[in-house]
Amino acid sequence: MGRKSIEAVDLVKRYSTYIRLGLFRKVRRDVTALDRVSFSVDRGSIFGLLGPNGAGKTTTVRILSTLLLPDSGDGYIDGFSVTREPDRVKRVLGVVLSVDKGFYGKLTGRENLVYYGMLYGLSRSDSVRVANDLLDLVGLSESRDRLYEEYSLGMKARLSIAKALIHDPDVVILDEPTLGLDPVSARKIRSVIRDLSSRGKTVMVTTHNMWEAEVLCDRIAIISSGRIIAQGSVDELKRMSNAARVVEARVYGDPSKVPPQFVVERVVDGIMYLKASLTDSSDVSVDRLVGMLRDRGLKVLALSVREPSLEDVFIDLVGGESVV
Amino acid sequence: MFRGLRPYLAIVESQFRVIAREVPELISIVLIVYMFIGVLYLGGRLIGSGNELFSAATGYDDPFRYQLVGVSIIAVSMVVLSSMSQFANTEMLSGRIDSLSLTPVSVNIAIAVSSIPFLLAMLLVFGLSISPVIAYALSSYGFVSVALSIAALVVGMVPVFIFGVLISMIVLVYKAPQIVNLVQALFFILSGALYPIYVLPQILRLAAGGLPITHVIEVSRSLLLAGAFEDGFRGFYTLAVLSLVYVALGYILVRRFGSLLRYRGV
Repeated sequence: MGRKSIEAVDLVKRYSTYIRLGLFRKVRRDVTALDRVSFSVDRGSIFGLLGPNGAGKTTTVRILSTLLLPDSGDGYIDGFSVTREPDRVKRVLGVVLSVDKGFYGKLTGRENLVYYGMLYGLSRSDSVRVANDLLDLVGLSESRDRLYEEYSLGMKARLSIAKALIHDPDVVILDEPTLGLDPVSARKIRSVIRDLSSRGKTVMVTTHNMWEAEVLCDRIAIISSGRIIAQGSVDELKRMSNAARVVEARVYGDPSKVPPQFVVERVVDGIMYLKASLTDSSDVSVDRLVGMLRDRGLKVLALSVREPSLEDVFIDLVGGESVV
Repeated sequence: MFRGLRPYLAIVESQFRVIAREVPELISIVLIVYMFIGVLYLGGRLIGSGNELFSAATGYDDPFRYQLVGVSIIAVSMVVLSSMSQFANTEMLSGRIDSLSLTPVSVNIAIAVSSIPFLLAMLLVFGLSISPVIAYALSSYGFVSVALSIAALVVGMVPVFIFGVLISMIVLVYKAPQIVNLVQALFFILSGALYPIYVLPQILRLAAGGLPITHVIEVSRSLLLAGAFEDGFRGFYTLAVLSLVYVALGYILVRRFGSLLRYRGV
């Protein structure tokens, strides 16, 4: 078995959509949802796929989950082709496509899990045992005999993860697992994801939440308009991008003497709050900026330098694009 | 082998559980079917009693039993069709079809077995509604007539299941749940449940001859109402051949729709 658990190789997917020009007239438009998307995920790591709305994240997930065939290219889960060996892929892959769908409302949380366990060929007794263990893992033991329709969104999300794990897959793909959840529920989900990784499972997550991706993922790929525009660790992405470091200073003195590199954000009791952006390609350094302030007779009371966040990097790379 | 059946047993069991927790819905389905059978039977009886040529037109002399056989069989097949397409539609709307597709289970077989609880409920309804005819046939023509007509019903249900799977695939691929209404209407018009099919225009008679449910009704009437074993056997063979053709065609079409579904996505 190779070192890579998930591989996407030159995935291409096109859709036809119709633009309505009246009651009967319509114009066909071909949309390239994925354009030669390639990435790979190391065994036991957490991988994040980030992108704006409509970038192709869910299409990628659906192809890797065997639910959708690509026009060309292929995906591999634990070395099995998603186009040619879907049944083998299904045995080693657990997927959460939507945190609040996929269950019977009139069955309890445990009955739903037992049902899915048996769909994977587990015996009833094994299914019940695994379902109980997973309900423990996701913190739903006390609610296991409540009807699913009575669950909160956070509980449904946790049950979705339990469902994805019912057949003990090596690889887990989660499509926006914390979407719409309150901070407490989202934290529990992140905790479960870390727990999965610590058990040696490979996890791929799509998310809009940059902070979440930054704290959770070992490696990240950024997808935009169906193309992977950057991938690497968070630090590598920060180095790759031209996102600016932000220099913030509290300064006392004459406002007319503030150098043009700074923006005066506000003035309180004669103290100015200044901000300047520094990219790696800037021809000034932090020391030089401080020197400029002092040379102009301004007194620097405090100074901080904030490194670009993943969000800064994302916006820099994607350029503020969003389909929806 | 039993291990391979586990997933499908789980589907049947979950359907039973869901239905058991939706008692008002179950009662309403049974009542609607009974009302359906009753209304159609009364309509047919009215036509039969008002027309002295009923016997000459149909070959049978009792409009009560004539309508009961046709309407009961058509009711069972309609419930099977609607329960399968409804399963596909609700699975699609609830996102469960994706979850089902992520498991090693065949979606087509899952759709077919999903209707088993409804089928069992309908067989109960069917058994109760057709019991006067069964009693009449047992006393008049013996056990063989009843056994053969049950066999015809079983063989005839195979194409109905295939229709159900195909309709469900169309529901999933084209998001068109109303297709089941069209097919049910065609079944109803072409099956001869209420009237002999020779009253239909030529082209519709040909279409009716290609519909297995038409032969199930004809065979059952021949055996249960007239004890016509020769006609019954002939009709049974025709039905068996037709069912085999439908199985072959269904296999090809279901595979085709399956590929289309995977290419287009749900």
